[in-house]
Amino acid sequence: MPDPTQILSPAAQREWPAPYDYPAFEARVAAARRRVQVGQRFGVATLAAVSLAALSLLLVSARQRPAATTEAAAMVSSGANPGDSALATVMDESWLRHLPREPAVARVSTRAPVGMLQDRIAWLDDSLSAALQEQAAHGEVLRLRSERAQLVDALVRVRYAEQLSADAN
Amino acid sequence: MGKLADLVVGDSLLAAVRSGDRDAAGRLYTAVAGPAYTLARRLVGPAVAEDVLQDSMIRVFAALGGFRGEAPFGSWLRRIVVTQCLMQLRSPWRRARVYWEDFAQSAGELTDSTDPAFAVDAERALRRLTPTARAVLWLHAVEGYSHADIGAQFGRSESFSKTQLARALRRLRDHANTSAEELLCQTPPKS
Repeated sequence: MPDPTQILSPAAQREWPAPYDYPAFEARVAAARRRVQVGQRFGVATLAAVSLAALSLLLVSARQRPAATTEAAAMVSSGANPGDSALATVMDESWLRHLPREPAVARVSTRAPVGMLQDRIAWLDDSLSAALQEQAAHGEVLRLRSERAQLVDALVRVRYAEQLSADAN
Repeated sequence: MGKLADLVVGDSLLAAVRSGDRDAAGRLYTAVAGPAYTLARRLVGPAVAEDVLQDSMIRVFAALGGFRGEAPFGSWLRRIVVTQCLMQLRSPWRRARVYWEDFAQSAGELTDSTDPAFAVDAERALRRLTPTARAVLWLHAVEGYSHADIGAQFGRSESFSKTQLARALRRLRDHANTSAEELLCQTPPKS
């Protein structure tokens, strides 16, 4: 049986050319800088948006049809004719009153914040690794860790709210 | 082996880059980008390696002023590239991307290869490893890193590196046995 490490020998001889030249490298760096600037500018805004999205989802999951159904059941028990169109109108209006103003936005908007959160967490992982290797100031490391913990917490809340909403539907 | 570590760059070129000469920066990039990308591609796969090359070169240009030449330039650059690669493997989100690339490329690159059979077999054997185990194996067997160095680079213990290496070698042995059995099955019967 051959030595397993010998299997690596031909692979170690293989070389690949650089995937992009120097001008393309400069263009990538410029684009990355723009992304970082935008990310820093919207870092706090992202956290706020995610918290808002999580809150909206919790409200959506809490305010579903059962509340309207309870009202309708009260009308039925008070002697109203279930076939009466007024009952249907009351049920619809009651349900509409309990809906958030823009439920579709609350549901769809979680996708972008989750992606942004994950990107930001990955960026913080990189920054933390670099900070630890370069023996950055203790306060800076703590700040990065604190922001990461907040973002992970926000991510958990969004995921949990999504799960609640999915279960409610 | 270990081509990146063996890379030699002239002091005059480094001095020109330090002084802000853009052409010199381009020449330095051209000289080192291929070997740096090759090592990164071995450790984290092709698409992630493109990002690693970018981040590594940013660090090279930013930190070149502090490079005193006490260690060879190639070794200094290799340390930067390896650090950037392992950052990718340490981050759960980035590691998921490396796994996904492995899955997506597991067939295409191997079947399209024009390499001799043994080289293809080496690529196939490497593909069977997890990204972490592959990185540990490569750093130890090809780049010559010690277990203590690898463990430290991963932010783990020395035994983490030993365990990963043992797992990788076991998988390589399994692959070698399987390949031998396939060869025996393909041997035509004597008439």
